[in-house]
Amino acid sequence: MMAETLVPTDTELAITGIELLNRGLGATAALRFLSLLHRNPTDYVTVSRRLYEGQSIDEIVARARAQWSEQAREG
Amino acid sequence: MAAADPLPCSALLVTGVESSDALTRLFHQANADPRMGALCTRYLNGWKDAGGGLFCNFPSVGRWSEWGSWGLPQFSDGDEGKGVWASGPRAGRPIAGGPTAMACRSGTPGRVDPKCLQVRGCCTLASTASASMNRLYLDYNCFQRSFDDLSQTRILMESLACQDLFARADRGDVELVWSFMHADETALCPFVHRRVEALRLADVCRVRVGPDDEAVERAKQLQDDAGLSPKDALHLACAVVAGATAFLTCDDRLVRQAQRAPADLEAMNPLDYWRREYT
Repeated sequence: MMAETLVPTDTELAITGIELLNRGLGATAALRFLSLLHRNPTDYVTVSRRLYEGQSIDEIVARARAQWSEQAREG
Repeated sequence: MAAADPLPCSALLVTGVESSDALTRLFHQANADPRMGALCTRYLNGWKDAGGGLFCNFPSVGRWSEWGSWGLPQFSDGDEGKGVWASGPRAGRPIAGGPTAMACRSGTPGRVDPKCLQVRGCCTLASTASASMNRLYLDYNCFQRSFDDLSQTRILMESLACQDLFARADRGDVELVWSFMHADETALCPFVHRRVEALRLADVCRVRVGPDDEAVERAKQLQDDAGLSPKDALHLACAVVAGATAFLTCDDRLVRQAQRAPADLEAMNPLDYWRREYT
């Protein structure tokens, strides 16, 4: 009986690849390398504004606090 | 014009045709005249007062000739006293690898002209440069700039400036701040690979700001006082709480709002900061 081979999804592959790049090159060189490959026709100033549209300070902080605590738990 | 139109970038191109040696000499003398510095300072202050952001000038350095007096200084390693910026907005900035340029003549010699600083930070910053390490708060768009549309010259230049700031932080030359707002923006980022890379860049940031009450209260004050959006107010509040010396963002509207806000730090575009500090 053949062993089942797990094929990573594109997302898993991308995350693993980026992690390996960071390990091999360091964060800042990895950023430079990735910027050569991944370019979106975006302006993140606009993207960010859109993502936070209609949210109050209290709403943002409530979500951010949960996020921050979760990251702290994960170390 | 710039206040009504969110397009922030403009280029000044001064050109002309010189047809004789005498005319060329006259133009060169005019370009080297100290009064040209005052004129350019006035021009840039007017640009800033009109709501202007990034100001591109062509070119930064270039040899004057019969084809035009293009360069601000003529040589990257010197040119003191020759050229508009030797007596104007760039005066007093140390030239990398070269001698220290003369004191600013646009204000009192040897002193920083605050109005000039507000335009481009072009006067001498000896006190800042010799102080302890700069602590910078980069808006989240700086973490994402390298993945934006780099076919736009402005975005490309901002991305290079941000990359260099990250590299300097990695070497320990500057301190960067990572706040709960950076974490929240990363969680909301719709691009997986950009999200992962932003989290790696967080490791380069040695100062952390958590979601404590001080930051939140400060953000609410900033929102009321300066009309900032909730997200922008939170970022700026985190910068203040972190004790950052500068708040850098690619968002021109936020730069203007943050400059008017009651916060004890500089607010500017990362490219403007980079050029002021490292060129």
